[in-house]
Amino acid sequence: MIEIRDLTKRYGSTTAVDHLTVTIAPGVVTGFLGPNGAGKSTTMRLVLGLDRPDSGQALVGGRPYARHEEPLRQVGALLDARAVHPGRRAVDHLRTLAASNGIGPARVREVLELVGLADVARSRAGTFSLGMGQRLGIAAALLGDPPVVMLDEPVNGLDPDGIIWVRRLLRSLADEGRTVLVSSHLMSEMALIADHLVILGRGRLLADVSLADMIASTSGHVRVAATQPDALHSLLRPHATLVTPDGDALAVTGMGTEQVARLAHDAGLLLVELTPVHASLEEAYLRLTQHDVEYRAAVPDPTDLRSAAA
Amino acid sequence: MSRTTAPSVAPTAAGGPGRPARTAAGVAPARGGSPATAPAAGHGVRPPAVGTVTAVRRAARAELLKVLTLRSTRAAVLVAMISLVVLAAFMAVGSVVQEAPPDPSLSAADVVLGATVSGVTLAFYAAATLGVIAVTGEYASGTIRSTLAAVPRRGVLVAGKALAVVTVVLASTLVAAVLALVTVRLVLASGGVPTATDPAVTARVVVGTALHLSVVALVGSGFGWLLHSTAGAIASVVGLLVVLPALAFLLPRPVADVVRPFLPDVAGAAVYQPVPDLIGPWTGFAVFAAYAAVVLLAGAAAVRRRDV
Repeated sequence: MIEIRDLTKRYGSTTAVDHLTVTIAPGVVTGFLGPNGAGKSTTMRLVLGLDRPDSGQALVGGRPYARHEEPLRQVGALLDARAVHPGRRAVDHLRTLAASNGIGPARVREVLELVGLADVARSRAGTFSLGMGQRLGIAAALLGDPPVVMLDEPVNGLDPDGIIWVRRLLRSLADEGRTVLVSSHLMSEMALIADHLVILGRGRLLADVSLADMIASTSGHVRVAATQPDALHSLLRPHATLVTPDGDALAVTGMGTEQVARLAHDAGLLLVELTPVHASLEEAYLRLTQHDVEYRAAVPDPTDLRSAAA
Repeated sequence: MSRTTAPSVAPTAAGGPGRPARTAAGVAPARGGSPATAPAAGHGVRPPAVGTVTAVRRAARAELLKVLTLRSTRAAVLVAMISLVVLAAFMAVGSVVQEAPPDPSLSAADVVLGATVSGVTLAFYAAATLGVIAVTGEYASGTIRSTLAAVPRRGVLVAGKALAVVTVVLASTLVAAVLALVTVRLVLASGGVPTATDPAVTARVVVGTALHLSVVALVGSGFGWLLHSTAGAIASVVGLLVVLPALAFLLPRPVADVVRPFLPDVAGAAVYQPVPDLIGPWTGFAVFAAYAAVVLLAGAAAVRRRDV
C-alpha cells in the first residue's frame, strides 16, 4: 500500500506535483498514467525520498520510505534503467545493493535468473542494451522480494518478448497480493497491463478509476462493411444512435457486433468486415488530459490557414 | 476509499515463469503469512530491527564492494601503491649511487625513512582521486539514485562511504608503505649504507603514511559530496591542501609563524615525516583530520539537504 497525502513538489516556478492525494492498493496492478511532465516520475521520487516534498507526505507500508530499516524489502523501484555505473558488472551492481540491505548472495543469483540475465551477469552494465538495462533495473527492484513494486516506464526499450514478460511479471506480482504501481504515458499499454488507473495531468489527480469503469464510461463503436454499403446503411440507421461513413465501411454507434451481424444476416447482406473498435479508451484518456499536456506540437488550425491565405 | 477491482486483463499470466520465489534464501524472514492472504507489510508486520550501527556497517560493506568492483577505483588504489614503492626504490638507489659523500648531518634513519616516504606526495593525488570518484562516479552515472533507494538515510550513506574509502586506502597504502620500507632497506644494505632506525619512529612513519593518505581520500569524498563534479572536487582538494597553505607566504611574518604549523601541508605531513619540525606528529595529524572532518560534515549536510 502506498498512501500519498496532499503531496506537493515545486522546482522553481514549476509545480511538478500539485496537492496529490491518492492511495495505491495492494493486489492489483495500478497504472500511473499521464502525459510527459505530468508528475509521475516526480511522485515516485518523492515516495522514495530522493526528492523532498514541499508539503504533504508519502507513506509506504504505513511509514515514510526512509524510516524502513531495510527499505529494499519494502519497496522495489525501477526509476531509471541508467541508474547503474556502466563500468560495474551486473552481478556486482546487485551485490552492492543486496549488501546494504542484508540480502544474501543467493537472492542475487535468483533475481538474475528471474529476469533472464544470468548468462550476462558478469558483463559490465555499460555493454547492455536499453532492454537489458531495464531487466537489470527490474532485477534490482525485486531483490528484496518487496510487497510494493514501483516501476517507471518499465517496457521502454524492451522487445515484444520483453514487453509480454513484463506484463506477466506485473500480473503475477499483483496476484501474490503485492502493490504494483507502473507508470506509462501510453493508454494502450496500460489497457493491457493495469486493473486500476491513476491519471495525472500537470501534477494534479485527474482520475482514480478502475479500468473496467474507465471502459464503461466510454462508448465504443462498431466498424462494419458490406458488399452493398447503401443497403447496410439504411438497414442499420433505424437501430443505431449514429451511423457515419468510415472509409469504405460504416462506423456504428449504439449497437453491438452481434446485433449488427443478426440484422445483416436476416436481411441477406454479406458482411466483409465487422470490428469492435476500442480506440475510445485512448480517446477518453486524451479528452481527460488534453488541457494538461505540457508539450504540445503546434497543429495549425484550418481557419488560421485560410485567414493567412486571404 | 472504494475501489472496484477490474477483471484481469492478462489472466493467463498468473503463476507464469516470471513468478518470484517468495521463500527464497535471503528474503525477509520476518514478514509472516502468505502474501496472498496477508498482502503488503502493514502495521504490526515489521522488518527485523536494524540499528544505526548495523546500517552503517552494511552500507560500508556495500560501498567497499563498489570501490573494489570498478576498474577506475582499483586503478587509483594501484597508482597510490605503485607511487609509494617505486619512488622509494628510486630514492634509495639514488642515495647508493650518488658520487658525493653522504651529508654528515643526515642520520641513517633520515636516509632510510626519508626515502621510504618519498612517494607520498605523488600517492596523495591518487588517494585524493579515489576519494573523489568513489562519490562523483555515482552522480555521473546515476547510480546515486539506486544507492539512495537502498540506503535512504543519507548520513548513514556518507558514513558508510567514508568507512569504505578509509578501509581501502588504509589497507593498500599500509601494505605499500611496508613494501617501500623493505625495498629501501634492501637497496641501501646492498650499497653498504647503514640502515639502522628507531623501531618506534619507523612504525610511526609507515603507519602515518597510510593514515595521511586515508585522510586525503576523505577530504576528496567530502568535496565529492559537496560538488558532485570530479574535476571540481579534485581541484578543491588540491586547492585546500596544497595551494592554500602555499599562500601563507603572503601573510606577515609574525602571523605566518603562528599559523604555519596548523596549515594542512605542515600539519598533514607531520605524521609521516621522520622528524617533524613545526608540530608534533600526532597533534599535526589531529589538525589534518579536523580539516577532513569539516569538509566531510559539510558534504554530509549538503547531501541531506539536496534533492537527488
